[in-house]
Amino acid sequence: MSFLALLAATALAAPLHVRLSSDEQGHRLLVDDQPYFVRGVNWDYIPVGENYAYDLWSQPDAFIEQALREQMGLLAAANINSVRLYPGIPPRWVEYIYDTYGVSTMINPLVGRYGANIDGRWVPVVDYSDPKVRQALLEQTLAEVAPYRDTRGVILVLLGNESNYGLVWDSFEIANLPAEEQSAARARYLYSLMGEITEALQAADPHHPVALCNGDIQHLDLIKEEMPTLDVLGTNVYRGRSARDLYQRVHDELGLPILYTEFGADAFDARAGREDHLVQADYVRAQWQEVYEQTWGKGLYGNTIGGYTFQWTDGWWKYGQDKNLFVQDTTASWANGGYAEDLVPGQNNMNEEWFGITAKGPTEPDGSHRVIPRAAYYVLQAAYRLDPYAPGVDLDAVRAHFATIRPADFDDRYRSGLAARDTAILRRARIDDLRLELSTTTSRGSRSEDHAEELRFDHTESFYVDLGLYPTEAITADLELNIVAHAAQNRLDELYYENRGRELVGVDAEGQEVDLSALERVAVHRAGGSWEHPWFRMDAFYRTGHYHWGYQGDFFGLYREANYGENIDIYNANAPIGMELAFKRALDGLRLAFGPQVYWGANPTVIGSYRRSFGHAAVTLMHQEDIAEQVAESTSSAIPERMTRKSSLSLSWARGPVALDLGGLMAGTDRVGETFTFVQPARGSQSYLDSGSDVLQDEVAMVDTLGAKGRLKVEGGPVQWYAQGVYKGLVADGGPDETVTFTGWTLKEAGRGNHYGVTTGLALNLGTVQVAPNFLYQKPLIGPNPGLVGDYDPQTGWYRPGVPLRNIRDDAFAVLENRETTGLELLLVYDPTPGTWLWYWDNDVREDASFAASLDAVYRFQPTSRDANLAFSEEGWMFAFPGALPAQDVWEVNARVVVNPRGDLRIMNKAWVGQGQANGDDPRLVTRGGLNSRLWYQRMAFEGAVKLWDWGPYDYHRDFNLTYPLQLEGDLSLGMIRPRLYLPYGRLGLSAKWRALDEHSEGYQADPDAPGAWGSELELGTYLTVSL
Amino acid sequence: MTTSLLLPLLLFACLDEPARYVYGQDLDDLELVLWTREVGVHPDTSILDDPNNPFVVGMDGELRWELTADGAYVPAFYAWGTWLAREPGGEAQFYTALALAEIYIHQERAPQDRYFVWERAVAGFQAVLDHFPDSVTYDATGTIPTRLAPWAYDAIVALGGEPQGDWVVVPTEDGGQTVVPAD
Repeated sequence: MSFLALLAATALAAPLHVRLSSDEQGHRLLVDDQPYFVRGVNWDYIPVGENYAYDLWSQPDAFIEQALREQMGLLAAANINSVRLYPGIPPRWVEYIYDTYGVSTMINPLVGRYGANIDGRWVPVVDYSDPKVRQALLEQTLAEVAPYRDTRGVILVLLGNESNYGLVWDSFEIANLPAEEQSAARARYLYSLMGEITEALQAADPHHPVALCNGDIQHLDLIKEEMPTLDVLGTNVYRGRSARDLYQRVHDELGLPILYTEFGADAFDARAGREDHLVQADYVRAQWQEVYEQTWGKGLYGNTIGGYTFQWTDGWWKYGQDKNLFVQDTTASWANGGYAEDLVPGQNNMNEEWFGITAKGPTEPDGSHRVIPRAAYYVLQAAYRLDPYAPGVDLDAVRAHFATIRPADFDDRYRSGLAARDTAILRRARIDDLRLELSTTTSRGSRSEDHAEELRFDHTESFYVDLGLYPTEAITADLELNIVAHAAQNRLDELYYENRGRELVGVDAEGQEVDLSALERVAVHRAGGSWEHPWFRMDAFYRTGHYHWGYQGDFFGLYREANYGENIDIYNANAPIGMELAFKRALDGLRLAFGPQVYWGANPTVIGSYRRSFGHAAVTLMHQEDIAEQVAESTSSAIPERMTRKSSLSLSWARGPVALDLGGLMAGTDRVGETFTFVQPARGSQSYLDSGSDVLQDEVAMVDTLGAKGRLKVEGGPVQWYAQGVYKGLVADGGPDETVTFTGWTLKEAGRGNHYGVTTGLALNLGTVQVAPNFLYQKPLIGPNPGLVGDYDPQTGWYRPGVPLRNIRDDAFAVLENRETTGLELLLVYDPTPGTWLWYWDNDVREDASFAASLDAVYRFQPTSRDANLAFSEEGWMFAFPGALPAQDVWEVNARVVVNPRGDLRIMNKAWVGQGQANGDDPRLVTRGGLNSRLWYQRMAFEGAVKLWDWGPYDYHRDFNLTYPLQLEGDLSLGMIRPRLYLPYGRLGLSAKWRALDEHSEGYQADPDAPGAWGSELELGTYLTVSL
Repeated sequence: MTTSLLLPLLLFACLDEPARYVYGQDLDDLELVLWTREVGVHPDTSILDDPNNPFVVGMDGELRWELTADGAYVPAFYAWGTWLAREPGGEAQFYTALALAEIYIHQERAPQDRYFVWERAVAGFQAVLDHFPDSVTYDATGTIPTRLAPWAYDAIVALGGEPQGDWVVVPTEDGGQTVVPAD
């Protein structure tokens, strides 16, 4: 460093040399020999909800810097050059504020004004006449000020705070004086002590003048007598717009420069009971004009050197001190005729919590807060543009300058700031949606047990309230409530969300009927939340869907997709419920999902995944641990399985056109040692119970918990090919494969254990057409049980137990979707715009081709049966079907067409035809077909369906093989907005359903006079949905 | 998978015990083993974990009646006890207790065990009164119900026990008597 630079650096690092200069034109404060006009504020940083005990300087440095950046920046922008602070601020922060923002500090020890620690005991009201107290206060004050002696940025030391107003102690000596003399006697002790402290401070530090903070100009004579070396008279003055004779009296009686240590006005109109920041600004303007007029060289008394406006921002703790800290109190605590605008005789008009030249904003989650400048701030900003000591600035110049400052000019700025603040607050909580759903239902039936021949009318009213919470940009929460006023009881399809609010009558212990209808009228329809933290992202969900992790290394489908659409509402299921955490930074790659039901039918569980990439490869380790057994059961398609644990390790590698996935699974170790029964072809001529089979018993072994899978994908030009092989031990259950490999094939490997298999497919992309054959072969390691009935011979006493079908609740494993299958599939796709991928979940509304279609034909050879499925009885009991489906080959063809001729017209069609087996044990093979069509034109929507010999809409229809010869549905609506898929929106509509009933239909009532005649059910409806 | 991992797996597979053929068993040889102190009395279900119980898997729905009718009391206990554990009800509890009572009466137990058999039988009949006070059984036609509480009450008395709970003996129209809850 050069010598000059060192000198400069030294100069910059040196404390300020401050002194006073007085001549015939008045007094000036000189800082490093330059005139320094004090444009100061009483500054503090106390967020809403805190009080005087809050200490900014004990917060982390980053927090302090942020607070200072926001607030000192505003001070500097208004040309405020000094703040009044108490000795709690560390000297380094005094220097930081000065060096960074050019704002100096007046250090203000209070000299026992509000109590002192004397000999280790807190004394709330000090006796300034007590020698022990005096000595203690002297030493304490010197100790408080000493650290700032060489601190850059300090300009003054101020003693006390209107200490002459706090002289309330008593002593024998005082008590013996006449009443009118007691106040002066106490004051003399005060000022004499202040005089001693002043001299001691000046002796220790000649570069920082000492000021007294007096209440107005009381006891000037005593100050002169007892504080002969005082440098500056500081004074707290609340006289309104003008201090009147103050300057003359100080000039005549004391002869010291004047520094306003507090002055200003509150911004609350106590008479009108509302904020009035413009009146405040006018007082502040007038007060500072007077200060300017009385500065050096203006031809008047020239004895003001500046001041500290009271105060920077509102003090929400002032009234009550430790009460109502979150409320800005409007109680006026004292009366002052100097502020006549809101003075009502006999009432107070000074509102302590409203003195800020800035309003205080709400406390942020990190504990910080911002301020909103009032008109007074902008008035001062304008006023301070004038340097009173600049050449040519005389009295006329001062008056002309202040005449241009009009508080009303700054009204809009403050209101804008308030509006921004209020918007930010209101935005934190709002109603995201209100929705009313009103509908009528008229129905009748013929040869129907459930619907009478006479028309029946009913209605449904349902209300949704969607509340959103947005406390910070990083945190959101959502809660949607549903309230059911009435639920129609005559619908053809009786399972629907609002039906939980149907009339329910119970019987109490005394046998009296009790109306239970209100129990479920109000429900939480869905809820969720998210938190974007530097270390993680959290997503909490309650009946709100989430995606699977199949593309993040979950090769065995442990964490399933949970988007169920309206099915959750139909079955009134409370799923999914849980939380996901995706970690960041050093924990990047770690994910957790846990909750009471993270997907429909899941046991309470914790699932963890850790994925790490290494160049072209990635390794994923997963573990699932069920915590308890799921007790909530709603429908057969989501029956909880037994508690278990699963672990998987997978490797994925991709380079160029080749991708390879390999994985190992260990699952069901809790079932090791469980006994199971199985059959195999009889060895000899005799068989068990003449079944043709031998029956064996074995136990689940460790090797039965293991599984492995490998998948190879190759893409070259128009050809995409994959092959996959899998082996899964008896109890090595994974989940379904929910990923899409190249295209939307239907045939996929069964997630359940107890099988081995291969799948392979080829997608030939010929321009806009894709031809994609697919092949599947799978076979259980141990096949289904035959359902043999046991036998007991009472003559011999010999008993041969039966061999019942297995099910997923009572047995270690079962043969269900992993039954022996050879599947052939041909998928044809026409998609001229593959950018809108046909297999996205919302492709119906996203597809941008004018015409896109797919045709998927599947044939399954199923040479064997399967074990038993579970279902619910009409009374709600879960049971296992006693029998199983027969071996049966089935085929099906599904077609999908999206027509998009213009932007305001879209037609979405799905058609199907094929064979299907029931879920239960009814052997009847169903050959069914249907067409579902949805047409959107501008705001109109039509949806229609025709189904032939198809199952009803619910799971139990397929469980019990309940079909209808013909089902017709139609829905026509006019929307308040354009139609939306999967989301409710405002619309007015008509709906109709008609279905024929035969002996296979639910509720069919045979007519003895017309055997074989079909029945029918009809429903007509109207509905209105109004939504924000 | 490396060889070092494959070998232990193969070893596991080799060491695994082979499956056992099921031929059935002679129920006349079935001995009563009271698996737990609470076995055979609702709500206990430990009979399902009893390795001596031949009816955990594959029991025909009518078998328990056959065994009872044939006087095969030990197998009847296991059959009814299994049914009770799977589908709790008064009928299942009553006949489970009845099987134990028959075992006790016919001295089908070693003397040192007979007390526990008696105690379980009494507890079983008491469970009918406590948990299934309104349960019934039907006659062979399945149409005529008969309340089980009086039978259970009488069985406890016949075994020398003391029925618990607020039950009172009241006369019937046909000159007999029955028991009803005190309230």
